[in-house]
Amino acid sequence: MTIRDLVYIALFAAIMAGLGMLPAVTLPLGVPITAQSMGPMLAGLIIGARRGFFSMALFILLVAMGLPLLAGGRGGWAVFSSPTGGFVIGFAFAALATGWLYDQLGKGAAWISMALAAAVGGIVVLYAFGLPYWMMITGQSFQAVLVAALPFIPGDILKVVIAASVALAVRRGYPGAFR
Amino acid sequence: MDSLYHPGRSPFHRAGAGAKIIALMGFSVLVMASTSLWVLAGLLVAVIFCWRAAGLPWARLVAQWRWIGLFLLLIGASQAWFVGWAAALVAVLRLMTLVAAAAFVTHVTTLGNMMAVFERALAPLARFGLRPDATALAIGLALRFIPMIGTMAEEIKDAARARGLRPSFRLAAPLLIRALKQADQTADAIAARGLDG
Repeated sequence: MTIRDLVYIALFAAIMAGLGMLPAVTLPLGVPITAQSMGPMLAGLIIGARRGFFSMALFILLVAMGLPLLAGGRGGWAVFSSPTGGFVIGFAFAALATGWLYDQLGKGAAWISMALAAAVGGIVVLYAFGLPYWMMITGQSFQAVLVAALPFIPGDILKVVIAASVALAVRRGYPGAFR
Repeated sequence: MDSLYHPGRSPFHRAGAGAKIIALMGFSVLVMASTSLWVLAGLLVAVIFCWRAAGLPWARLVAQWRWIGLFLLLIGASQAWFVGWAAALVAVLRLMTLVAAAAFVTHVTTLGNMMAVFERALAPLARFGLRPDATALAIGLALRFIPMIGTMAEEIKDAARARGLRPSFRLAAPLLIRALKQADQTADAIAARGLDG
Protein backbone atom coordinates (compact mmCIF):
# COMPACT_ATOMS: atom_id res chain seq x y z
CA MET A 1 0.00 0.00 0.00
CA THR A 2 1.45 3.35 -1.06
CA ILE A 3 1.04 6.72 0.63
CA ARG A 4 -1.36 7.71 -2.14
CA ASP A 5 -3.54 4.68 -1.39
CA LEU A 6 -3.58 5.65 2.27
CA VAL A 7 -4.56 9.25 1.48
CA TYR A 8 -7.36 8.10 -0.88
CA ILE A 9 -8.64 5.76 1.82
CA ALA A 10 -8.79 8.65 4.29
CA LEU A 11 -10.38 10.90 1.65
CA PHE A 12 -13.25 8.50 0.95
CA ALA A 13 -13.87 7.95 4.65
CA ALA A 14 -14.25 11.75 4.85
CA ILE A 15 -16.49 11.84 1.76
CA MET A 16 -18.67 9.25 3.47
CA ALA A 17 -18.93 11.58 6.47
CA GLY A 18 -19.80 14.46 4.12
CA LEU A 19 -22.60 12.42 2.52
CA GLY A 20 -24.02 11.85 6.01
CA MET A 21 -24.33 15.59 6.54
CA LEU A 22 -26.59 16.06 3.50
CA PRO A 23 -30.25 16.41 4.47
CA ALA A 24 -32.40 13.30 3.95
CA VAL A 25 -34.89 13.42 1.09
CA THR A 26 -38.34 12.06 1.90
CA LEU A 27 -40.02 9.90 -0.73
CA PRO A 28 -43.80 10.23 -1.35
CA LEU A 29 -44.64 7.38 1.06
CA GLY A 30 -42.76 9.07 3.88
CA VAL A 31 -39.64 6.94 3.46
CA PRO A 32 -36.51 8.93 4.32
CA ILE A 33 -33.58 8.35 1.98
CA THR A 34 -30.09 9.46 2.92
CA ALA A 35 -27.19 10.00 0.56
CA GLN A 36 -24.81 8.02 2.75
CA SER A 37 -25.30 4.57 1.25
CA MET A 38 -24.07 6.08 -2.03
CA GLY A 39 -20.63 6.26 -0.38
CA PRO A 40 -19.69 2.56 -0.75
CA MET A 41 -20.82 2.61 -4.39
CA LEU A 42 -18.71 5.70 -5.16
CA ALA A 43 -15.71 4.32 -3.25
CA GLY A 44 -15.85 0.97 -5.05
CA LEU A 45 -16.23 2.56 -8.48
CA ILE A 46 -13.69 5.36 -8.06
CA ILE A 47 -10.86 4.01 -5.89
CA GLY A 48 -11.49 0.29 -6.45
CA ALA A 49 -12.27 -2.76 -4.33
CA ARG A 50 -9.30 -2.85 -1.96
CA ARG A 51 -8.95 0.85 -1.23
CA GLY A 52 -12.74 1.20 -1.19
CA PHE A 53 -13.01 -1.55 1.42
CA PHE A 54 -10.40 0.05 3.67
CA SER A 55 -11.94 3.53 3.30
CA MET A 56 -15.30 2.23 4.51
CA ALA A 57 -13.60 0.20 7.28
CA LEU A 58 -11.89 3.41 8.40
CA PHE A 59 -15.24 5.20 8.37
CA ILE A 60 -16.78 2.43 10.51
CA LEU A 61 -13.84 2.74 12.91
CA LEU A 62 -14.41 6.49 13.25
CA VAL A 63 -18.11 5.90 13.96
CA ALA A 64 -17.32 3.20 16.54
CA MET A 65 -14.90 5.59 18.29
CA GLY A 66 -17.79 7.94 18.93
CA LEU A 67 -17.79 10.43 16.07
CA PRO A 68 -21.36 11.32 15.06
CA LEU A 69 -20.77 10.73 11.33
CA LEU A 70 -23.76 8.64 10.35
CA ALA A 71 -26.72 10.35 8.70
CA GLY A 72 -28.68 12.24 11.35
CA GLY A 73 -25.62 12.68 13.56
CA ARG A 74 -25.50 9.13 14.92
CA GLY A 75 -22.33 7.48 16.13
CA GLY A 76 -20.68 5.51 18.89
CA TRP A 77 -21.16 1.96 20.08
CA ALA A 78 -24.96 2.30 20.09
CA VAL A 79 -24.94 2.11 16.30
CA PHE A 80 -23.90 -1.54 16.49
CA SER A 81 -26.55 -2.35 19.11
CA SER A 82 -29.33 -0.96 16.94
CA PRO A 83 -31.12 -2.93 14.19
CA THR A 84 -29.43 -0.99 11.37
CA GLY A 85 -25.90 -1.80 12.58
CA GLY A 86 -25.52 -4.49 9.92
CA PHE A 87 -25.91 -1.93 7.16
CA VAL A 88 -23.07 0.10 8.66
CA ILE A 89 -20.77 -2.94 8.84
CA GLY A 90 -21.96 -3.85 5.34
CA PHE A 91 -20.67 -0.55 3.91
CA ALA A 92 -17.13 -2.01 3.73
CA PHE A 93 -18.24 -5.17 1.93
CA ALA A 94 -20.54 -3.20 -0.38
CA ALA A 95 -17.57 -1.12 -1.53
CA LEU A 96 -15.45 -4.27 -1.90
CA ALA A 97 -18.10 -6.02 -4.00
CA THR A 98 -18.81 -2.93 -6.13
CA GLY A 99 -15.12 -2.44 -6.93
CA TRP A 100 -14.51 -6.13 -7.54
CA LEU A 101 -17.48 -6.54 -9.86
CA TYR A 102 -16.62 -3.39 -11.78
CA ASP A 103 -13.13 -4.87 -12.29
CA GLN A 104 -14.64 -8.11 -13.55
CA LEU A 105 -16.88 -6.27 -16.01
CA GLY A 106 -13.80 -5.02 -17.84
CA LYS A 107 -13.41 -1.70 -16.06
CA GLY A 108 -14.50 0.16 -19.18
CA ALA A 109 -15.98 3.56 -18.46
CA ALA A 110 -19.40 2.32 -19.60
CA TRP A 111 -22.16 3.67 -17.42
CA ILE A 112 -24.05 0.40 -17.46
CA SER A 113 -21.23 -1.69 -15.97
CA MET A 114 -20.76 0.94 -13.26
CA ALA A 115 -24.48 0.88 -12.47
CA LEU A 116 -24.59 -2.92 -12.43
CA ALA A 117 -21.59 -3.15 -10.09
CA ALA A 118 -23.07 -0.47 -7.81
CA ALA A 119 -26.46 -2.21 -7.74
CA VAL A 120 -25.03 -5.60 -6.78
CA GLY A 121 -22.49 -4.20 -4.31
CA GLY A 122 -24.47 -1.30 -2.92
CA ILE A 123 -27.88 -2.98 -2.69
CA VAL A 124 -27.61 -6.81 -2.78
CA VAL A 125 -24.42 -7.14 -0.72
CA LEU A 126 -25.38 -4.31 1.65
CA TYR A 127 -28.75 -5.90 2.41
CA ALA A 128 -27.08 -9.31 2.78
CA PHE A 129 -25.37 -7.80 5.83
CA GLY A 130 -28.14 -5.47 6.92
CA LEU A 131 -31.14 -7.80 7.01
CA PRO A 132 -29.67 -10.77 8.98
CA TYR A 133 -28.24 -8.35 11.57
CA TRP A 134 -31.64 -6.67 11.87
CA MET A 135 -33.26 -10.10 12.35
CA MET A 136 -30.65 -11.04 14.96
CA ILE A 137 -31.12 -7.86 17.02
CA THR A 138 -34.91 -7.71 16.86
CA GLY A 139 -35.77 -11.40 16.61
CA GLN A 140 -38.15 -10.62 13.74
CA SER A 141 -38.77 -13.07 10.90
CA PHE A 142 -37.15 -12.68 7.47
CA GLN A 143 -40.53 -11.84 5.90
CA ALA A 144 -41.25 -9.09 8.44
CA VAL A 145 -37.81 -7.55 7.95
CA LEU A 146 -38.08 -7.76 4.16
CA VAL A 147 -41.46 -6.01 4.14
CA ALA A 148 -40.07 -3.24 6.35
CA ALA A 149 -37.03 -2.82 4.09
CA LEU A 150 -38.88 -2.90 0.77
CA PRO A 151 -39.91 0.79 0.71
CA PHE A 152 -36.22 1.75 0.67
CA ILE A 153 -35.46 -0.08 -2.59
CA PRO A 154 -36.68 2.65 -5.00
CA GLY A 155 -34.41 5.15 -3.24
CA ASP A 156 -31.52 2.68 -3.51
CA ILE A 157 -32.06 2.35 -7.25
CA LEU A 158 -32.03 6.13 -7.56
CA LYS A 159 -28.72 6.16 -5.66
CA VAL A 160 -27.24 3.60 -8.06
CA VAL A 161 -28.16 5.82 -11.03
CA ILE A 162 -26.62 8.91 -9.40
CA ALA A 163 -23.50 7.08 -8.19
CA ALA A 164 -22.79 5.60 -11.64
CA SER A 165 -23.26 9.00 -13.31
CA VAL A 166 -21.03 10.76 -10.79
CA ALA A 167 -18.33 8.05 -10.96
CA LEU A 168 -18.34 8.17 -14.76
CA ALA A 169 -17.98 11.96 -14.74
CA VAL A 170 -15.10 11.73 -12.25
CA ARG A 171 -13.38 9.06 -14.34
CA ARG A 172 -13.64 11.24 -17.47
CA GLY A 173 -12.66 14.41 -15.66
CA TYR A 174 -9.72 13.04 -13.69
CA PRO A 175 -8.45 9.78 -15.18
CA GLY A 176 -5.19 10.13 -13.22
CA ALA A 177 -6.92 8.99 -10.03
CA PHE A 178 -7.72 5.57 -11.51
CA ARG A 179 -5.40 2.69 -12.19
CA MET B 1 -14.63 17.08 14.66
CA ASP B 2 -16.15 16.52 18.11
CA SER B 3 -17.02 13.04 19.33
CA LEU B 4 -20.14 12.29 21.36
CA TYR B 5 -18.04 12.38 24.55
CA HIS B 6 -19.62 14.42 27.33
CA PRO B 7 -17.06 15.77 29.82
CA GLY B 8 -17.38 14.87 33.50
CA ARG B 9 -15.52 13.64 36.57
CA SER B 10 -17.61 10.60 37.50
CA PRO B 11 -15.98 7.22 38.22
CA PHE B 12 -17.35 6.12 34.85
CA HIS B 13 -15.40 8.89 33.12
CA ARG B 14 -12.23 7.91 34.98
CA ALA B 15 -12.45 4.14 34.35
CA GLY B 16 -10.18 2.67 31.66
CA ALA B 17 -11.62 2.64 28.16
CA GLY B 18 -10.72 -1.00 27.58
CA ALA B 19 -12.45 -2.05 30.80
CA LYS B 20 -15.57 -0.12 29.84
CA ILE B 21 -15.75 -1.77 26.43
CA ILE B 22 -15.29 -5.25 27.89
CA ALA B 23 -17.95 -4.49 30.52
CA LEU B 24 -20.28 -3.29 27.76
CA MET B 25 -19.79 -6.54 25.84
CA GLY B 26 -20.57 -8.60 28.92
CA PHE B 27 -23.59 -6.47 29.71
CA SER B 28 -24.89 -6.74 26.13
CA VAL B 29 -24.64 -10.54 26.23
CA LEU B 30 -26.58 -10.51 29.51
CA VAL B 31 -29.28 -8.28 27.97
CA MET B 32 -29.56 -10.45 24.85
CA ALA B 33 -29.87 -13.59 27.00
CA SER B 34 -32.50 -12.18 29.38
CA THR B 35 -36.06 -13.17 28.65
CA SER B 36 -37.65 -11.99 31.89
CA LEU B 37 -39.49 -8.71 31.75
CA TRP B 38 -38.45 -7.84 35.32
CA VAL B 39 -34.78 -8.60 34.78
CA LEU B 40 -34.73 -6.46 31.64
CA ALA B 41 -36.58 -3.62 33.36
CA GLY B 42 -34.00 -3.80 36.17
CA LEU B 43 -31.10 -3.67 33.71
CA LEU B 44 -32.62 -0.66 31.94
CA VAL B 45 -33.10 1.14 35.26
CA ALA B 46 -29.45 0.36 36.09
CA VAL B 47 -28.29 1.95 32.83
CA ILE B 48 -30.48 5.02 33.41
CA PHE B 49 -29.06 5.28 36.94
CA CYS B 50 -25.48 5.20 35.57
CA TRP B 51 -26.42 7.77 32.92
CA ARG B 52 -27.64 10.16 35.61
CA ALA B 53 -24.78 9.35 38.01
CA ALA B 54 -22.31 10.29 35.28
CA GLY B 55 -24.09 13.63 34.85
CA LEU B 56 -25.04 13.00 31.22
CA PRO B 57 -27.96 15.01 29.82
CA TRP B 58 -31.37 13.34 29.48
CA ALA B 59 -31.78 14.74 25.99
CA ARG B 60 -28.85 12.66 24.70
CA LEU B 61 -30.44 9.47 26.02
CA VAL B 62 -33.83 10.32 24.58
CA ALA B 63 -32.17 11.10 21.23
CA GLN B 64 -30.67 7.58 21.17
CA TRP B 65 -34.13 6.08 21.59
CA ARG B 66 -35.70 8.44 19.08
CA TRP B 67 -33.26 7.25 16.40
CA ILE B 68 -34.49 3.68 16.83
CA GLY B 69 -38.07 4.82 17.54
CA LEU B 70 -39.45 3.42 14.30
CA PHE B 71 -37.93 0.02 15.07
CA LEU B 72 -39.23 0.05 18.64
CA LEU B 73 -42.70 0.73 17.27
CA LEU B 74 -42.48 -1.90 14.53
CA ILE B 75 -41.07 -4.60 16.80
CA GLY B 76 -43.46 -3.78 19.61
CA ALA B 77 -46.48 -3.86 17.32
CA SER B 78 -45.55 -7.10 15.55
CA GLN B 79 -44.66 -8.90 18.80
CA ALA B 80 -47.85 -7.69 20.48
CA TRP B 81 -49.92 -8.85 17.50
CA PHE B 82 -48.32 -12.29 17.03
CA VAL B 83 -47.12 -13.22 20.52
CA GLY B 84 -48.57 -10.95 23.18
CA TRP B 85 -47.96 -7.76 25.08
CA ALA B 86 -45.39 -9.26 27.45
CA ALA B 87 -43.21 -10.40 24.53
CA ALA B 88 -43.59 -6.96 22.94
CA LEU B 89 -42.40 -5.27 26.13
CA VAL B 90 -39.45 -7.66 26.42
CA ALA B 91 -38.35 -6.93 22.83
CA VAL B 92 -38.70 -3.16 23.22
CA LEU B 93 -36.97 -3.06 26.63
CA ARG B 94 -34.11 -5.22 25.36
CA LEU B 95 -33.42 -2.92 22.42
CA MET B 96 -33.71 0.24 24.53
CA THR B 97 -31.29 -1.19 27.11
CA LEU B 98 -28.72 -2.35 24.53
CA VAL B 99 -28.63 1.02 22.80
CA ALA B 100 -28.56 3.03 26.04
CA ALA B 101 -25.67 0.98 27.47
CA ALA B 102 -23.60 1.30 24.29
CA ALA B 103 -24.30 5.03 24.08
CA PHE B 104 -23.30 5.37 27.73
CA VAL B 105 -19.79 4.03 27.09
CA THR B 106 -19.37 6.37 24.12
CA HIS B 107 -20.50 9.37 26.18
CA VAL B 108 -18.07 8.80 29.07
CA THR B 109 -14.95 7.93 27.03
CA THR B 110 -12.83 10.52 25.23
CA LEU B 111 -11.96 10.13 21.56
CA GLY B 112 -8.27 9.86 22.48
CA ASN B 113 -8.84 6.99 24.92
CA MET B 114 -11.13 5.24 22.45
CA MET B 115 -8.47 5.57 19.73
CA ALA B 116 -5.85 4.07 22.04
CA VAL B 117 -8.05 1.02 22.65
CA PHE B 118 -8.62 0.52 18.94
CA GLU B 119 -4.91 0.85 18.22
CA ARG B 120 -4.18 -1.88 20.75
CA ALA B 121 -7.01 -4.05 19.41
CA LEU B 122 -5.78 -3.66 15.81
CA ALA B 123 -2.11 -4.25 16.67
CA PRO B 124 -2.24 -8.03 15.99
CA LEU B 125 -3.32 -7.21 12.41
CA ALA B 126 0.19 -5.81 11.78
CA ARG B 127 1.31 -9.22 10.57
CA PHE B 128 -1.28 -8.98 7.78
CA GLY B 129 0.23 -5.68 6.64
CA LEU B 130 -2.09 -3.36 8.56
CA ARG B 131 0.53 -1.22 10.28
CA PRO B 132 -0.61 0.64 13.41
CA ASP B 133 1.19 3.85 12.40
CA ALA B 134 -0.51 3.73 8.97
CA THR B 135 -3.89 3.35 10.68
CA ALA B 136 -3.16 6.31 12.95
CA LEU B 137 -2.09 8.41 9.95
CA ALA B 138 -5.26 7.45 8.03
CA ILE B 139 -7.44 8.44 11.02
CA GLY B 140 -5.65 11.78 11.30
CA LEU B 141 -5.98 12.46 7.57
CA ALA B 142 -9.69 11.57 7.53
CA LEU B 143 -10.35 13.94 10.45
CA ARG B 144 -8.56 16.70 8.49
CA PHE B 145 -10.43 15.91 5.25
CA ILE B 146 -13.93 16.04 6.78
CA PRO B 147 -14.04 19.84 7.23
CA MET B 148 -12.11 20.27 3.96
CA ILE B 149 -14.87 18.45 2.02
CA GLY B 150 -17.48 20.71 3.64
CA THR B 151 -15.58 23.87 2.67
CA MET B 152 -15.05 22.64 -0.89
CA ALA B 153 -18.76 21.79 -1.22
CA GLU B 154 -19.71 25.32 -0.12
CA GLU B 155 -17.28 26.88 -2.61
CA ILE B 156 -18.55 24.77 -5.50
CA LYS B 157 -22.18 25.54 -4.60
CA ASP B 158 -21.38 29.28 -4.50
CA ALA B 159 -19.62 29.08 -7.86
CA ALA B 160 -22.64 27.32 -9.38
CA ARG B 161 -25.04 29.93 -7.95
CA ALA B 162 -22.85 32.74 -9.32
CA ARG B 163 -23.31 31.23 -12.78
CA GLY B 164 -27.08 31.03 -12.23
CA LEU B 165 -27.13 27.24 -11.73
CA ARG B 166 -29.12 25.51 -9.06
CA PRO B 167 -27.01 23.33 -6.74
CA SER B 168 -27.72 19.64 -7.41
CA PHE B 169 -26.01 16.27 -7.36
CA ARG B 170 -24.31 17.27 -10.63
CA LEU B 171 -21.89 19.24 -8.47
CA ALA B 172 -20.70 15.99 -6.86
CA ALA B 173 -18.33 15.17 -9.73
CA PRO B 174 -16.43 18.50 -9.69
CA LEU B 175 -16.31 18.25 -5.90
CA LEU B 176 -14.84 14.73 -6.00
CA ILE B 177 -12.30 15.74 -8.67
CA ARG B 178 -11.14 18.68 -6.57
CA ALA B 179 -10.93 16.47 -3.49
CA LEU B 180 -8.91 13.82 -5.38
CA LYS B 181 -6.49 16.49 -6.65
CA GLN B 182 -6.05 17.76 -3.10
CA ALA B 183 -5.47 14.18 -1.93
CA ASP B 184 -2.76 13.73 -4.58
CA GLN B 185 -1.03 16.89 -3.35
CA THR B 186 -1.27 15.68 0.24
CA ALA B 187 0.23 12.32 -0.76
CA ASP B 188 3.12 14.08 -2.55
CA ALA B 189 3.72 16.28 0.49
CA ILE B 190 3.83 13.28 2.84
CA ALA B 191 6.12 11.34 0.48
CA ALA B 192 8.42 14.38 0.19
CA ARG B 193 8.82 14.30 3.97
CA GLY B 194 10.10 10.79 3.65
CA LEU B 195 7.18 9.03 5.32
CA ASP B 196 6.78 6.38 2.63
CA GLY B 197 4.47 3.43 3.20
